[in-house]
Amino acid sequence: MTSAVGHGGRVLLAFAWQGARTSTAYTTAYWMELLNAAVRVFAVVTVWAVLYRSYPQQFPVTGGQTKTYAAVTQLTAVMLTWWSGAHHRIARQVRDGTLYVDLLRPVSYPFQLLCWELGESAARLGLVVLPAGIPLFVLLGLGPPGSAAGGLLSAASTVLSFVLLYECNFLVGLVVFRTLSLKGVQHAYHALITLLSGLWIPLWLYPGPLAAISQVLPFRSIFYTPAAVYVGYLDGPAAVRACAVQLGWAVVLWLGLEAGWAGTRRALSAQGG
Amino acid sequence: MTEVVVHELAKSFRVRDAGGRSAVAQLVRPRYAVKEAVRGVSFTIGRGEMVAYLGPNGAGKSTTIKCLAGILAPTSGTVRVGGLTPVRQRKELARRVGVVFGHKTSLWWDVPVLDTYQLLRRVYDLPRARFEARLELLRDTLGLAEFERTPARQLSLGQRMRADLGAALLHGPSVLFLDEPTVGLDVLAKESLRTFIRRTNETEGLTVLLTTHDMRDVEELCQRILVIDHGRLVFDGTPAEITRRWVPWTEITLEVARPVPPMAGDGIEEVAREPGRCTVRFTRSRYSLPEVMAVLANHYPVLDCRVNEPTIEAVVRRMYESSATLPASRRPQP
Repeated sequence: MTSAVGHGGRVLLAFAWQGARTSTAYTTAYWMELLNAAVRVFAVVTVWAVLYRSYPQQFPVTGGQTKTYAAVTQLTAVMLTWWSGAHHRIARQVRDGTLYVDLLRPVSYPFQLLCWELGESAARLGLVVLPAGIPLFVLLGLGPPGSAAGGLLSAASTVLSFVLLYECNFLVGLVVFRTLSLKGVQHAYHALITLLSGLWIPLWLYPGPLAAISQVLPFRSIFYTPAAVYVGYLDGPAAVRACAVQLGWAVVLWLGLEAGWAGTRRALSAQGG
Repeated sequence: MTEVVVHELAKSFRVRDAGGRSAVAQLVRPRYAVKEAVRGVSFTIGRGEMVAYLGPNGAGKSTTIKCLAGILAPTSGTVRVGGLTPVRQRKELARRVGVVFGHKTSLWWDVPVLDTYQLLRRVYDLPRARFEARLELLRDTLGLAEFERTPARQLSLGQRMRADLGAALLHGPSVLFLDEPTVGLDVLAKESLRTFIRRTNETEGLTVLLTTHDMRDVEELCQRILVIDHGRLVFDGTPAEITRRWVPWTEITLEVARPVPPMAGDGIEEVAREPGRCTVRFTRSRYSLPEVMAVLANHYPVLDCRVNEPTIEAVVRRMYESSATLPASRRPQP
């Protein structure tokens, strides 16, 4: 058992390292990604700053918190690249048949993919998010976490965001085994993330019904929770509760992922790819 | 000792059958047909054997390999590799077999070959010393040193195949499944790959099952040939036996001094003619070469002659041609 866990850890680190190498394989792409991240954060923060100045009474937080929330969610999105995660990798592998190669290895496919995504996200954190984010935070006068505990909790919450997003992406990717294409499914999925995750609009601005819908779905835990904890809108027991909800979703979705993959693997084994 | 056992293996797939119906009808009420890719195939392979698994496109070769590698579950029948049941014991099996699909690479596309190998070291949990020794051996035999620091996407096809073979053998498997490993390679690259496979078979007792459309692979590597057609095994024997069965004749090309009427005897006949040259075919079971030469010298004003022994390529071509023209009921049965 200990040996299996040790092996799993070594595989995770090795995949993560290679994921990091892959994300820096194309020099031009790297510099463009860095520029894109900076422009994107600057633009979104500016828009929210203008909105806040125009309608300050509509916001339950300060102008500084609003701008920081916008920057944190955008930088988290850059780190997680939610629009091109595991679902795209699965779709590509199903289409070009390289999935078979991954199935030949003595490590489960979902675990291989998780490790790979982790490596790429870790690399983007170090090579894109921090180099773009730190100067922008200084330049735009954005704030540190609401408290030290909030900062730590927000960091833990971001790790859970990664896991949650990976699980959602993987589950969406499983659809490709039936449809052989991400088209359609991807648009619906991305619309849900855009609307209900807090990526573009802080969920505290949502009217009752929409807020109620977001409460019962896992998407709010992906971007809203870590950013709301960071800026201190959620703090103390509320922040811990929000992170517990994240953890609960991560467990539930992992069980769903395992069951979904087991079914897909059975169908794949019976039917071919 | 038997390494691979395949008994009455059958594998069917359910495929969409539009059958001329409209796209809307197919969407609303899809129809399916059952495609039998492999039908009752049985064979065994002993440890250290190198066996060619031949058949026309769509015959069921890759499906069999995928069943052996644990990717596909048989619809019926049994498969055992190294004493393991592939689908049920897939992870254990992965440590005992290597697989190379010529059309697909197992290398991570954007990282250097060496990095892929380092990753595989972790995946297969190889001790560092064993990994280093193995890598050194592969460097020597596959000439990896010249491109091991190059990302897979920048390799030539020949280099990529060598790197893929290295990846498949890094963990020291006892069985190697090769699915068209020389496809698209130039003559030198093919030769270097064959030399490597032969040497590994000799030094490590590696068992090899090889599918290919290049008959030089078969001639240079395999002592035994399995032929599958329309999902059924239609031949299991040596290269000499397959030749005897499918091309029971030999052709002789004669340079002649002047044209004479074509020969059409019993078991000897002229099959081609050009100015100053004609080709005669005789059935080997009826005549020996000296007998035929005597008969030919009597009929033709022979200046020179060349005996064309049938190549495996010619044998297999003939086999595929006759398979394509024969109705299913008259195709050779195992």
